[in-house]
Parts: sequence; structure tokens; C-alpha cells
Amino acid sequence: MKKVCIVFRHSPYGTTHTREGIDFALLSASFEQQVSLVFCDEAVLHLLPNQQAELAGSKDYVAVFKAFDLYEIETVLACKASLDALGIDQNELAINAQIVEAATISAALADADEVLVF
Amino acid sequence: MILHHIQTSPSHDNAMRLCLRYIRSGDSIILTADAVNVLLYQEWLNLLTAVPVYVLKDEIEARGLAGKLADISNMKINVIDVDEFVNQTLHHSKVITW
Repeated sequence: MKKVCIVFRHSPYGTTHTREGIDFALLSASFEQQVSLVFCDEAVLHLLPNQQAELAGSKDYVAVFKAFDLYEIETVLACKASLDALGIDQNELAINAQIVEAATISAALADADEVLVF
Repeated sequence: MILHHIQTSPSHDNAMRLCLRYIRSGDSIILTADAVNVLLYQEWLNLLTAVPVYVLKDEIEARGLAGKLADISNMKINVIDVDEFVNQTLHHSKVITW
């Protein structure tokens, strides 16, 4: 069993990076890997509620975020600096990600066996 | 001891900035492809003085930047070949490609 940390850094819908990363995360989790997720930069925008992906011509992959604990993905970190930069407060988030300082994310990156960035 | 791998230029991608937000002492950075352009910006050089930086020889020579690199005085740039790149990946605990 490997500790896999997946970092999302791209904005929703503009590219396919995040969707690919989410597919990889769920796949890894379903293969009993210990998966942790990090949302930083504009990827934190995925954590906002009331999104309608189809209006941007995209499949609604954000809906699956609510199923993270079903996949035993317990660690979901959101970069505080990124949220602050975008003026987003903790209470606005649609899922209960842990809002953490950069140092905590650095520790998660060091702790993981593998880190992939999408 | 993480080797952070940057492939894109900071002029159009945030990878380099993000890497520097999460990098820890003991980590290193390797610049390939357009990321070698980081070395042409004084603002980025100033941020990298405390970090071991590697860059691929072919990428530099492909772009005719060897002379420019020679001008960089305030820090050491490790110009390496692909074999040494592989060596460094083994030397570090893991590689993160941003």
C-alpha cells in the first residue's frame, strides 16, 4: 500500500488536468492506496458550492467530491494562501477540506511515497 | 530530500512559484524545457540563491543560452546531462513534477 498525494493546481473546467487527477485519485483509492489530496492555487475554486459544470461544457466531476470519504480519502487539504488570495472563506467551501498553511502541505508532500501534480 | 522538476516557463505557468511555496531546505530543483528561462529573470534568481538548481545541458545549448548562464554570478547552477539527471532522481527521496 502506498501513500499517494495528489496535488491540484489548475482552475476548474478550463483544462482537463483536474478531471484526470480526480479519476486517478478515485482509481488509486479503490486499489487500496492511501490517498491524500491537496488543492492549491486556482484549483481551490473546485471547492465552491453551486457549480454547474455542464454550462462550461464539462462533465460534472466536482459532484464526486462529496464521495471522497466513501473512497476512504480522508485527507483533503486546501492551501490557505490560495484561498486568501481568491477571497474565499472556510464557511464557503462545499466540502470539509482542512484549510492549512504551506508548511503543512510541504510536510504532506514529504510524507507521501509518491506525489503527482495535476 | 525532494527533487522538484519544473518544465514550464514562469511567464505563463505558476509551477515555479508553487514549487517555491512548498519547497523545504534539503530539496533541489531541476529545470527542463522552457523552465530554463527562469535563469534569465533576476527576480527568480534572487529567489533561488539558497536552493541547489540543476539544468539540462542540452536544453541550455539548444536555446543558445550557455553564455547567459556564464554571466550568472550570485549562485551556482549545476549544468548536467541526462545521466546525471537520472542519478539525481535516485539520490533524492522522490521527484515531484509540477
